Amino acid sequence: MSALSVKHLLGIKHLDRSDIGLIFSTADNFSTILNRQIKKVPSLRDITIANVFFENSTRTRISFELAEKRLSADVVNFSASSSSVSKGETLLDTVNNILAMKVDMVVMRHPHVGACHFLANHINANVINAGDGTHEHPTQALLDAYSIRKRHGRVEGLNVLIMGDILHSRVALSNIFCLLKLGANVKLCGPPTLIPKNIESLGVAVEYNLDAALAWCDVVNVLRIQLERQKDSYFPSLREYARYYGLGLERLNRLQKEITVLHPGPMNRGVEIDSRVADHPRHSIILDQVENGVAIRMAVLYLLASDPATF
Amino acid sequence: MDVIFKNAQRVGPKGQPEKVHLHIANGRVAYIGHDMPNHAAEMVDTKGAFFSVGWFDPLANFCEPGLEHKEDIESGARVAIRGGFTRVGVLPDTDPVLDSNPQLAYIVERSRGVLPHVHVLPSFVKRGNHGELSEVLEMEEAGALAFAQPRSVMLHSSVVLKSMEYLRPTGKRLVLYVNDKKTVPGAFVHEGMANVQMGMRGIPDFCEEVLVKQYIELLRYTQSSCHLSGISSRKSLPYIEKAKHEGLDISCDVSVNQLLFNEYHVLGFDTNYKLEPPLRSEDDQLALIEAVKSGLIDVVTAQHQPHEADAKRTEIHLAEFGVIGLQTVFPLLCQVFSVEKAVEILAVHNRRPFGVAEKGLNVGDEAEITFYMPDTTWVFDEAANESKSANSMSMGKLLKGKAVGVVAKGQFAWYG
Repeated sequence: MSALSVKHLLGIKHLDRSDIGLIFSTADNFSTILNRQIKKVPSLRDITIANVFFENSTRTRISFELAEKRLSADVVNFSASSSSVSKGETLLDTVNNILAMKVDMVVMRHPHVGACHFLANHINANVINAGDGTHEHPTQALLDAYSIRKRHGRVEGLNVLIMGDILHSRVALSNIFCLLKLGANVKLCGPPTLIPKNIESLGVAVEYNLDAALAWCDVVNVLRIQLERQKDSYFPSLREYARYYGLGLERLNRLQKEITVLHPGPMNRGVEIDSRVADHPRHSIILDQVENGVAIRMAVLYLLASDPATF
Repeated sequence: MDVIFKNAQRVGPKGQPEKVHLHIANGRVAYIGHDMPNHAAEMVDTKGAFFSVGWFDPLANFCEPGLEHKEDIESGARVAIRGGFTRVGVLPDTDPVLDSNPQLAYIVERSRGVLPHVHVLPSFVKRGNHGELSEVLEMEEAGALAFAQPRSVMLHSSVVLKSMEYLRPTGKRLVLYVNDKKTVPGAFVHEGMANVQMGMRGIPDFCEEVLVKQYIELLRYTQSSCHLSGISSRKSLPYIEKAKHEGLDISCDVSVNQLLFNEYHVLGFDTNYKLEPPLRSEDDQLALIEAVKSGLIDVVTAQHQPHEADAKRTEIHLAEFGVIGLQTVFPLLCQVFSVEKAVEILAVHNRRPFGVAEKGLNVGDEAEITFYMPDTTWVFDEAANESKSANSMSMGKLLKGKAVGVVAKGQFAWYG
């Protein structure tokens, strides 16, 4: 198989296992290229990609932009702060205006759930979801799983813990879909106010005791606590959160086993993750995730652009 | 009006179809029977169309005044009459909210020249959501059918209590919505299985249950009359059943959309499935269907909520709630119930809680008749749609069952 089963990357939910396998094997090739002296390939020459970000992002935007440039695509960047969105223009108008400039692909981040589905239903270009509200962030989940695969040689059969704010996290949902499709066992841990009701229906387990959850897992993906949530009283204080749901080195040392630590960033050091864990040479693969992110995004862009059904 | 409708069919006392001819003269039913009347100015061959007492939807939005870009009284009336309705009740969700006698008089005046008959349900609270009662006695005297909560207003229980007490002597129903917007702010889908897959917070069904219980307690205390609108959860049903058993003057409705769809229809982020109350689980859907069959749920509405394209063609968070439905409610009901049951709901059940007499088919009555073809298939498309708005999940779909003619207010509206 050499093509994806989808025209857009809206969510992991719509991919099948062979799609993910294809993205990974393509990323392997790009990963090799990225370690060469000349890192650029001409694969997407003459393709114009718009990065449309209606929400702040640093690493995702830069990662996409780098991936696009490594593939020789022409890139335009659009962010809400410098746009006409603040003047009341609708999402559809904004993107149609960009498309009128003959853009082939749109990478979009948006604060509203389903915004990328809406866009894909109304425009002809390929749409890549770079995060839509609390729904999905598919390339993050792909690079997380890809990083786990690189470290462990497999994803299937591994016990993966996702801890933190599951309720407001698009990373969590995409990770759940992705890891389950690849055959991992998935458990969630966090304060009950930040775990969505009925989440077990997706095929995951929930554990409120972090030590018990860590004892079970091979890999832990630590999600960021959005500091603004604290004023909504989902938990009493950052201090209490760090004590009961923070990943400290002492906790890890008590386990007497090595587990792999991921974090999609940006990190709140000292809240959900201890600096000594984040920077730990053996446990942490957080910077590997960033590196793999470029290869994964190159793979996604390349596969969507080269789908014969698309162009 | 002097018309003979020949070769029509009615459902006989044992459920068997019976071919008859109808003669309507001077706006009244002059004859129904097997013999062909001698003469009339106009002759319509119905070619076997069925007919019943005219259909009624008590809770629709015609959006006038203030929101005429969505619908107005003329367009709303056209929609209703094409959907087979001889009577419609209009809600106070206008701009400004319909809460005073001059506004009521305006609607009465504007709808004088249109078919079908337009009933008005003004708001029982004044605009601005400060909890002040509107002048309901004056509006009752001017012909208000019942009094409704505006959708934009969240009611405090003290206001409901006051309103029930004040309205009790009139016997008019207080229409109250049972969808709670306060417990999970910002949520607009059901809390179940589908919202988890969409990463969205949902509204738990207990929110509705709490409101239903509260309103029933207030009703028991005041011994007034109320109508709970938009039942969406199985959990609400036992409370309503008990209240009815006790003899409380309570009625309730469900929208046809709740009977056809469930939470999973929202998965594709289609804004037409963004409804208020939200589409709930399949289990709720099945319980609601059974409750309509048993008569526990009195009324089925189209929940006609027109919106301009831009209000729906946007991110689901920003989209308005609701769909149009008066033109499609009959074929949609036929997908859930037998044709006979669908007609019984629209012609008979929808009238009862609001005291609208089941008249229009006996000799001497002012004629009020709906003709329908149960087996006719048609596409509800732009050409067929009479509304100013097109927000409907049925748009472009092939439907089975169609209203084919209406006599309303003693006048021949259309046949075709």
